[in-house]
Amino acid sequence: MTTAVRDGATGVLPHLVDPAVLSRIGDLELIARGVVDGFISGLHRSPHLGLSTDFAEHRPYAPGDDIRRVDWRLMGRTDRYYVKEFEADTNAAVTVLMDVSRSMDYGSAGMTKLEYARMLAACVLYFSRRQRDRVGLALFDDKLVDVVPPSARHLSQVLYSLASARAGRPGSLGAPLRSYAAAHPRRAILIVISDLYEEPEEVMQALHALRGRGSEIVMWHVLDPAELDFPFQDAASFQDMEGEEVMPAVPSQLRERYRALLAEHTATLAHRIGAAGMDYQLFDTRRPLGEALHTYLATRERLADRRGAPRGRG
Amino acid sequence: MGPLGWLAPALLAGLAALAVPIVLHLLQRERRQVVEFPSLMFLRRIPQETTRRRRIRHPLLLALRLLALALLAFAFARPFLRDRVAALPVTRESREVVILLDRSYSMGYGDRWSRAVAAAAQAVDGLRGGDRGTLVLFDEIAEAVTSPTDDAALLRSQLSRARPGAAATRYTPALRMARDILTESDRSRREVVVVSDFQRAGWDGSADDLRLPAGTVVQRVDLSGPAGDVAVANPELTRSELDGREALTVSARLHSTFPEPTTRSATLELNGRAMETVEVALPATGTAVANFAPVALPPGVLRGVVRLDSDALAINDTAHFVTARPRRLSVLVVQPTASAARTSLYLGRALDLAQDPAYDVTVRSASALAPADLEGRALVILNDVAPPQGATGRRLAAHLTAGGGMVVASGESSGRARWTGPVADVAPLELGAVRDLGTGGAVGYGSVGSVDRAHVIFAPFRDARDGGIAARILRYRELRPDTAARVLASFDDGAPALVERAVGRGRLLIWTSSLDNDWTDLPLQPAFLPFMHELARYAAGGTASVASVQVGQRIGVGRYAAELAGAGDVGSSTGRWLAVSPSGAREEIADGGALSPRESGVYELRPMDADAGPAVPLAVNVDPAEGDLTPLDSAAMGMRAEEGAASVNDMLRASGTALTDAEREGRQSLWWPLLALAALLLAGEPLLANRLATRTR
Repeated sequence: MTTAVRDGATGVLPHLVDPAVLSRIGDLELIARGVVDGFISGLHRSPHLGLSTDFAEHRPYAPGDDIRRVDWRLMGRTDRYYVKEFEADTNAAVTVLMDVSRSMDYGSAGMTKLEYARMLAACVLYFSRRQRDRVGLALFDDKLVDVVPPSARHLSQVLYSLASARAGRPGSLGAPLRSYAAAHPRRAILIVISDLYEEPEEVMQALHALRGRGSEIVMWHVLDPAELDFPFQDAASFQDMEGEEVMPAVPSQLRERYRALLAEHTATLAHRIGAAGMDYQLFDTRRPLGEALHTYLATRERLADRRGAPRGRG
Repeated sequence: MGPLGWLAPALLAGLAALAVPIVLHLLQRERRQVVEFPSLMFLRRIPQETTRRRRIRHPLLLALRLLALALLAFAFARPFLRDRVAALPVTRESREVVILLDRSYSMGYGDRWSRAVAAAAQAVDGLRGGDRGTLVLFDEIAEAVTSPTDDAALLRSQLSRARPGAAATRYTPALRMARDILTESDRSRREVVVVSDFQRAGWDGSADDLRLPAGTVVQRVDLSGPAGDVAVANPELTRSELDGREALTVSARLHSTFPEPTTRSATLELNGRAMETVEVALPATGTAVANFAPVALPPGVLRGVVRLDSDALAINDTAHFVTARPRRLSVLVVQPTASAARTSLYLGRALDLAQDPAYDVTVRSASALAPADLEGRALVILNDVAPPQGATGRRLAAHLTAGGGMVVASGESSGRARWTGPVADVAPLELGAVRDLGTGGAVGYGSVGSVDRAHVIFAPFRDARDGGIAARILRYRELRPDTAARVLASFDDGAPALVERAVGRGRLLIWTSSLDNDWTDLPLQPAFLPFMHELARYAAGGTASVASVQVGQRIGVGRYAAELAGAGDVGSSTGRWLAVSPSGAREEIADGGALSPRESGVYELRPMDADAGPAVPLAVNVDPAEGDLTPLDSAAMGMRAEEGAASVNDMLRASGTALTDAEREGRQSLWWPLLALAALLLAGEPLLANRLATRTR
C-alpha cells in the first residue's frame, strides 16, 4: 500500500511527504500505515521494543528453572520436560492526548494544526500498535471531549475518534489533563499534542499532574508556520480565535518582537519540560510526519534505556 | 452671498487634497482585514507599541502642514471681501481717493443722509499711510471741501459739517472735478467713491464722453431704495378779472412717484394767511394739479406758498412764489416791407397771446422805421431785416446799450444783408452765408441739436427729453460768435442757432433761422409759443413776472427787483444789493451782478445804500425733478472700470457692486499675505520636524 501514498511526482516516500499532501487522503489509517511502513522499511533494525509474553520456543528443562514455566501439555504428549521460552511482552500503553481547542483549527499552509496533529497521532499510535503497545486516545479542549482507553484492540476506534475530532471551543491544559490523570492512573506513555498557548508555569503544572504515578510524558508542541514566522504584511485587526478580543496591529512593526517572544516561550517550555524529565518537541506543520516518528523512536529508546528494559529482538 | 468671495473658487478644490491622507487613513482603517489568529497571547504583550505607531505622533506638525497647504489653496483661489467700503484697501500701493458725496436735497429722504455720511466715513477710514483723500460735495455743482490730503481728521471734520442742500443732483460737475483731481495726482492707484442715491434725474448725459484716468476704480455706494415722494412744482399764476378787479388764480402741479395712488392736501397761503386747502388725489407715479379758487390780487408785492402735508422728503413739499401786478411791455417788430405781413404773422400772434408780461406789439417796415418808433420800447425785433443805418441805427444802438432788448431773426430778405452800421459798431457780429440743410442731409432737414438747458429761455423745456425745440430747420444763416457771445442753442450740424450777446446793459439775441415758416416749421410747432414768450421776456429783461426761481438758477438782482416792483419804484442807486437767504446767510451782489440761490424759501434782496427802499422778496423753490427718486437703470450693467476704457456714464449705470470681483480681488490682494504665511509655515516646518524628531529619539 505504500505505493498508494507515494508522491508520483517526486517519488518521495510517504513518511517524508509534505503533510499537506497527505492530508488530502481522507483515510487516516491508510495514511498512518503508509507513513509507518515506509518509516519502518527505512530502519536498519527492528523497531520492536519492550517485553512480551508471547511464546517464542521450547527448551529442555534444566534444574533451577521455574517449574511454572514447564509446558505440561507437551510433557503429556512427549513425556519430557520442556520449558517455554517467551518473547518479551509489551507492557506499554501509549495514549495520545490531543488538543482540539479552537486555536488548533488554524492553518496557513494548506492544513490546520488539528489536521497535522491528527495525522501525527494516527501515525504514532499506528506505529505503537505495530510494536504491540496498547494504544489510547484522549481529545480535550478545556475539558475532556473524548477518551478511548488504552488497549491492544482499540486502534480502529482510536483512528475513528481521531478522524471525527473537531476543533470548537476554547481550550486549556490544566483541567482536562488533571481529570485524565485522575481517571487513568496507570503508567503509560502519554503523548500530549497541543499548541500550548499557556504560560509555561501552567503547562508544567498540567504535565506534572499528568505524570501521576510515573507515566512518561512526551510533549509535542504543534505550531503553524504563520505562528512561527508571523509573515503578515498588511495592517490588520487580529482576532483571538478563542475569544472576542480584536487587536489592531501593523505586522511589520512588531514581527521581530513577536518572534522573539515566541522563541522565548518555546525555549522556556523546552527547558522546563526537559528539566522535569519529560520530552518536548516542537513541530512545524510543514515538517514531514516521518520526522515525528524518528523523534518518537528516539524517545522510546531513551525511555527503554531509562527503564533498563530489553528492547526486544532486533 | 457671504462677505468673502473667491475669484477662482474651483481651486478651493485643492483643499480636498488635505483630506486625502486623513481619508486614506480612515478608509484603510475601515478596510483593515480581520485576521483570525490562534492566540493573541504574544501580541497582547506588545499592544501599546502597535497602536501607538498608528497614531499621529506629532499633531502640531500635522496641523502646521495642513494649515500651510490650506493657506496655499486659499491663496490660489484668490479670496476677496465683498463688503463695499470696508473691503477697500489692503493694497500696498498709495492711493488717490476722491469721495464724491451727493448732497442734493433728495439725500434728505429718510435715513439716506446718515447712511451716506457713514459710507463716506468708512471710505475715509480706509485711507492708509501714503493715501490721499479728497471730499467733494456735489449737487448741481461740485465743491471740493478739502484739497487732496492724507489728514483723515480733516476729512472727517468736513464730513461732519456737510448737510444735504436744496439743489438737484448733477453728476457731471462732480465727475469732472474727480477727473481733474485724479489727473493731477501722482499716486499709483486712483479711486473714486461715489456716495449717492443715483437718481436718474441727475444724469443728463453730458458726461457721456467724460473719461477718468486709466486704471481708475469707481466704486458706487448706492443708497437708493424703494422710495416714493410727492413734490409740488412751481405754482402757476393766471390773472383774470373777478368782480371787476384783477384776480389771481394759483394752481400747482403735484408729482407723485409712489407706486400706488395717494391723496395729499395742499394749502395755499398768501402773505402769510392760509387761504384754502384742497385735497388732491394723485395717481400712481403721476401728476395731478391742485387748483385754488381765484383771489383778488392785492396791491404791491404778493408772497405766496403752496404747502403740502409733510412726508419723508419735506423740502419739496412747499413751493413759494412772489408776484406783483404785471406791466405791459412795448415791443417793436421791424419787418422787410409793410406788405410782408406773413413774415411777422406768427411772431405777432405769439406775442399777442402772452400774459405775463403782456406785450403791446407794434409792427413797422424797415423802410418806414424812424428813431421815434424806438421810444419807450422794451424790445425791438429785427425780423428778417438788416440793422438800420443812420439816426435810426444810432438810436437802436443807444437803446441796446441803455439796457433795452433786441432780437434779430434771419430770413430770405436779410439773407445776404451785411451786418453794418451803428448797431454793428456796438455789437460786432460775423454773419455769413445762408446754409441749406434741406438738400444736404439724408432726411432733408436739420433740427436744433442741443440747447443750454440751464438758460432761463429754455426753462419751459427743461423736462422735455429732446431739448424742447422740436422743429425742422431747412435753412439758417451762418454766424461766427465772438468771445462776448454765448451760444444758447445749436443746430445738429453744430452751427449756432441762438446766440446771446450782451451789449452795454442790454441784451441782443440772434436767431439764425427765420421766425416765419420759410426756413423752418418752428412757428407751426407747439414749442413756438413758449419759446417766443421766453425769448421776448428775456430779451426785454423781464424776469420779474417769474413767480419763483429754482435753486441754482442765476437771477440778475437789479433787473429782477425793478421788474417786480415796477420800473423805478425800487432800486439801488449804487446798484449793489444784499441777498439774505431764508436761513439768514448774507451775500453781497455787485452792481449788475446775479444771484444763484442755494436755499429754497424766500430770499430778501436789500439795496445797499443809504436811502434803501423796501426789501424785495425772491421766491426760490427746489427743482421738483429731484423729487423723482427713481435710480439709474441698473439693468444696463455694462460697467467695467477696465483701465479707464469705459466712460463714466457706463460706470454709473452699473449695478451697486461697481467693482467686479476681479477688481476687488486685485485691489485687496488677500492672496499675498496668505501665500506669505504659507511660505513662512513651510519654511518653519523642517525646523519643527527636526526638533520633534530629535526629542522623540
